[in-house]
Amino acid sequence: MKWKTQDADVFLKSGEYVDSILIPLTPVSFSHEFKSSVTMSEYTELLTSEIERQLHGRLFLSPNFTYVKNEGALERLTSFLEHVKNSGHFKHIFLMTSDVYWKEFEQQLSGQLFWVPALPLETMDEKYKLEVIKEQVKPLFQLIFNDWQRSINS
Amino acid sequence: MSKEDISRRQFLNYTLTGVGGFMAAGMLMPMVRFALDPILKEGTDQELVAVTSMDEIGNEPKRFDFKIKQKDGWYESDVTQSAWVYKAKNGDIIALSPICKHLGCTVDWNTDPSHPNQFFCPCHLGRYTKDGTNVKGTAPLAPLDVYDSQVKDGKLYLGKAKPRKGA
Repeated sequence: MKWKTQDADVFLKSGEYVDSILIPLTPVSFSHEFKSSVTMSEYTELLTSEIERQLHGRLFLSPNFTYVKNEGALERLTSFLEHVKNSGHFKHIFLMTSDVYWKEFEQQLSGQLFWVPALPLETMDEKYKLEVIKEQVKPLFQLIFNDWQRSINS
Repeated sequence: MSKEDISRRQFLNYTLTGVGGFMAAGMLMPMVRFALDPILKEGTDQELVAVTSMDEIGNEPKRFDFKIKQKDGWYESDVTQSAWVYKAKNGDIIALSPICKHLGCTVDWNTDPSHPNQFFCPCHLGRYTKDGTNVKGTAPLAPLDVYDSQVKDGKLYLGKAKPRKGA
């Protein structure tokens, strides 16, 4: 489900089926890291939207969490995750980013972090691009399914 | 002297308003027409899109991804869609939409080890038989949608996915 009124209505009605949230973490910068943050954000969005497409009925795709590096990004994300958790809707929280910045905070975040380095997709043609994205998300699905499985068993 | 129906001043007024109005209409009509264009266009059925060549289709359902242009009023975008395609015993080509009828996840073929040869939805464990009929007792309440399909020059073309009656 996406951050759209149409999906929001379904969410209000069938919220008990939607117990997972996927939060894209995308950096913003207009100085020397400008181009790389655009590449990372674009890549993260491609992956997250493909995951959302396939798991539409159980996974909510959150709006992007955008941040300027070193500007208290960790504190902001922590309090955002706190809010998400306290809403009581989501048992499974997944974070997706191409920015290696988050890797060192992985343990402190209340959610599973998927860190996937960005590939330069701009030069690829459409068909090949689709193929690459498909391959890239495959193991991520496995991680998500494993997490779901664990909650059944526990 | 004949009866004067119309004064010179009136005559000029009428002609000028007439001509002016005609010119204004000539200018405004195309503008209005352009502004409303997407609404006036007929809602044509979605065009058929070439998805795959026929020799790639076997008896086992195989997933094909393709892109269609989706129009939402003035906004046009590319949307990725998938289809599960296989050849039925009588030779018919069956193209099923992978969108689960429960809440819209994408179903997969033969991925649930305890129920082989069925479509399986990983989100809420919904199941469908090979022809797309929903298995009773699982989450979905309707069979999978079927694509309009057409075979031309050895290629499979798919159109719109249409819903069927529940089992």
